[in-house]
Amino acid sequence: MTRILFLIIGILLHTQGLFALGRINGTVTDASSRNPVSGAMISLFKGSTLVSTTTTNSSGSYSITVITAGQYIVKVSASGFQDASSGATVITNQTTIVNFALQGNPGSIAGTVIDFNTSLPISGAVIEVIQNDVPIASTTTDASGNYSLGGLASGSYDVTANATNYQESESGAVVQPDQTTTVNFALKSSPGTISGTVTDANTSLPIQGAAITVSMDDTPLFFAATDASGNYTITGVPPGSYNVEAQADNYETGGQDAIVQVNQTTTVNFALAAAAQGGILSGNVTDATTSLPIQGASVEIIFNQTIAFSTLTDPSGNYTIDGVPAGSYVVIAHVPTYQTGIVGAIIQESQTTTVNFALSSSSGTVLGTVTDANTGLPISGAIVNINLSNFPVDTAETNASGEYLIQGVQPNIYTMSFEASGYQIGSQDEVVVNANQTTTVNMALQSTFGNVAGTVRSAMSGLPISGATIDAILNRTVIGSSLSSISGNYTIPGLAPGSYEILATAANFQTAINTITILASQTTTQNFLLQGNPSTLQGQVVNAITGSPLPEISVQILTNGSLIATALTDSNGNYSISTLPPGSYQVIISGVGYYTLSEDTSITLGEIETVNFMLTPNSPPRNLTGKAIDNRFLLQKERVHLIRWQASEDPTVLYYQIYRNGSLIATVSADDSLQYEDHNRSSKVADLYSVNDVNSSGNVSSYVSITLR
Amino acid sequence: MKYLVRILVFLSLLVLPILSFGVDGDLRIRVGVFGFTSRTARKIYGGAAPDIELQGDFYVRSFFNPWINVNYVWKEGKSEGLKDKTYFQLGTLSIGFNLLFPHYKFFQFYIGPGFSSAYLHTTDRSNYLPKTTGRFSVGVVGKGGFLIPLYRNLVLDLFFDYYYQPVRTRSSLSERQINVGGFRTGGGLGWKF
Repeated sequence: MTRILFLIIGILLHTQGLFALGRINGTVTDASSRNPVSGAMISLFKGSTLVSTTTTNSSGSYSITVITAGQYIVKVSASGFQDASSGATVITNQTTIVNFALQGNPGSIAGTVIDFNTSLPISGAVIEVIQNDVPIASTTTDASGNYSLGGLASGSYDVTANATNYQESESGAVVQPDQTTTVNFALKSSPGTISGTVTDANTSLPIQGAAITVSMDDTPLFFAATDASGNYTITGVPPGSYNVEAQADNYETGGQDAIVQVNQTTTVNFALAAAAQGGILSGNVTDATTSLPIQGASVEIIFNQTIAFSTLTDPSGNYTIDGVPAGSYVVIAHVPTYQTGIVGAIIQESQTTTVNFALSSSSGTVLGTVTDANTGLPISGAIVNINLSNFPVDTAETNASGEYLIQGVQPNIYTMSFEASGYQIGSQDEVVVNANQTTTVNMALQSTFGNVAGTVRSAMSGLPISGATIDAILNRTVIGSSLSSISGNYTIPGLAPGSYEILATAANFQTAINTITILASQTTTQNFLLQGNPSTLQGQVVNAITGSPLPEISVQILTNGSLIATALTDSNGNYSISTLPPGSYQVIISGVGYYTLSEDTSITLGEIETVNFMLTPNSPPRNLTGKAIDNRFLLQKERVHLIRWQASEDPTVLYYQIYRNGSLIATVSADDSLQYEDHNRSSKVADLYSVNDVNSSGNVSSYVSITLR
Repeated sequence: MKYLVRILVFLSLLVLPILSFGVDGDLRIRVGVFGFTSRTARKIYGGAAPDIELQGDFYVRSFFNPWINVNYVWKEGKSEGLKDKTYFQLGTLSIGFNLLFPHYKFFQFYIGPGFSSAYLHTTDRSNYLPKTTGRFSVGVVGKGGFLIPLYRNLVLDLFFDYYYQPVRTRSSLSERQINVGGFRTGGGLGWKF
């Protein structure tokens, strides 16, 4: 029994020895922030054997009970932190404290550096990572402007970017374990400086206190004021194009464009012109009956029939207009329901001229209609002026119905004028306008054009001829044209007053021609009786040198200097005019590139006359060249213009004519050297030389020209 | 040419009284070539022009000889531009002194400055400009050369002179002033009195 008792005691003692308890306590904190790290895995090793594990609580604390005393290794791992371990000696019934301050996993900062304005990457920019004002890492950007800095402990940093010719930029960055924080920079170019001086344009003395405003795209950005020496300086101006403006009291504002470049000073000086002070016009506008002030009355200063200044009266009926250049003006005050006040005023420099108006209430109205005197139709867009002593008081424009309305006309006696395009100016004198009454003035305007009209009939049968062509001709040019109707009637409208030749042409009839005078706004009657059995003039036009037929050549038939018929040659050079009355004619043949030919011919009744023509090509001199030569001797010289040309293609050319600035100065025989020296010219004046030729037929070619100085 | 004759007579009248008062000296006839310094003149008249001179030297000291010189240069040329004929004549009267050294038996080197007064006369064959033009000019001259005794009173003069002789041109010319002087080099024979 005793043995059993001892055995039990021994077992108990042994058990107590085996399970003797020790303890390891501690806390796990963030080495950077000193905050507790919760959930950190605590592993206890005995040698390499894992003995126990636990995790830290929310306070970062842990506790591990150890059964056997001895040497242990405590390891800790936590997400986002570097692993840590520590040795620990556990003693029975004692608590061993093992604390950990974990270092966070490193992170990195990366980003890009670009130009603020162009967005182009900036290479070679220096990136510095700063913590507690101490640079701890740096790098430079690559060709793409990128950078990266790794191995940074988690925490807050300042990152700076520096590059040549750029302003430094700084940004904050928070680095997280195992993470890359992106910090991009857009660097602004280093600023420049704008400086200069503001002076008086007349005296060149400096202007103190002039306000300098530097704007970009109409947005003021920088401001400065000149010192006692008229100088100003504005620093820190980003590169770019600006507008610099200088303003000073009693001076005209000056403005200039300026380009600011990196690290450079742009000088912008101003010489300000003194501002014209002018005079002041002031006064009041009152009711002539009650003497009460009239508010809102419009006061206008008229110069050269144009409103130069205007303002409105205040509640007291007063007005002031300053800065009016010295001179004589007409001042008008008008307000609805009152007669317009008109007075003359002389404004003197730096003086106040007082003009008061006492306006009489009520005014008259002028209205009416403007019509065409011939047709009676309304004229829209006509300008109606109402004038007093040749001074235009008011104006109006007619509407689509030809009506106009002018209100608020001061009672008086006026003249009125009416203008419309295509019509003669109409006027009306002594238009009496009474207060509160309407005066009606209608106007019928005369057209500035006239017409010609009439009938074309057969002289034999007296029947009307339809389809006859009637031309109104002025200086051998067809101004207007018309075809006769089935009843033989025609009208050519819109002819300016003057003398015309009216030509009536119809197939199988002789052309008739008459001269008439067109009067403005009148219709002139011209009737035609066309005779039958017309004569025909026909023929062919060929090149006088090659003999080839010439198409598109103009054939004009004139009788007594009047154009009676025209034709163009066809592709075979033929022409034919079959409506001619018998008589004598001048035939003019002309074509581009040919000398004009004129020939007289006669034709009898019903005859078919054939007249052929040979046109000589117009061959001016060729390849005209020239040069200015200084014919220089030792003590004197002269400027000579030497012109040369090649012979005309016309073998019959006799001589060449040389013109200087339109005046004939010489002739050169075709047999001589084809050049001409024009002496004693000036190098300060350009001379236009023209050369043409004259052939054996007396034809004068077109010019070829050259300018020499 | 009549100007040249007049100048020679004037020079003789000037020199002979001095010589007659017993001042030793020599009278030299020199011929050479004249080269324009003016580029314009060279363009018009080409390279060298003939030069003839008459010069009197006075032996005041063994190393110091005042001199007086008259010369005549002429040349024909063609205008720039139209190549019209032109004729150039330049007569110059100059005075100065020479410094001589060393006093070797067989030769002496001399150098010296002087003032010159010249009259330039040109004839321009143009129908559009004045036929003749003339200008007076005052300038300076620098002389240098060798004197070599030959036989008894005969002396050989090898010379190289430079004349600066500005004249004004007509105002229409861009070049308002032309140096009608230039280099002259050649030889001459002198007779000691």
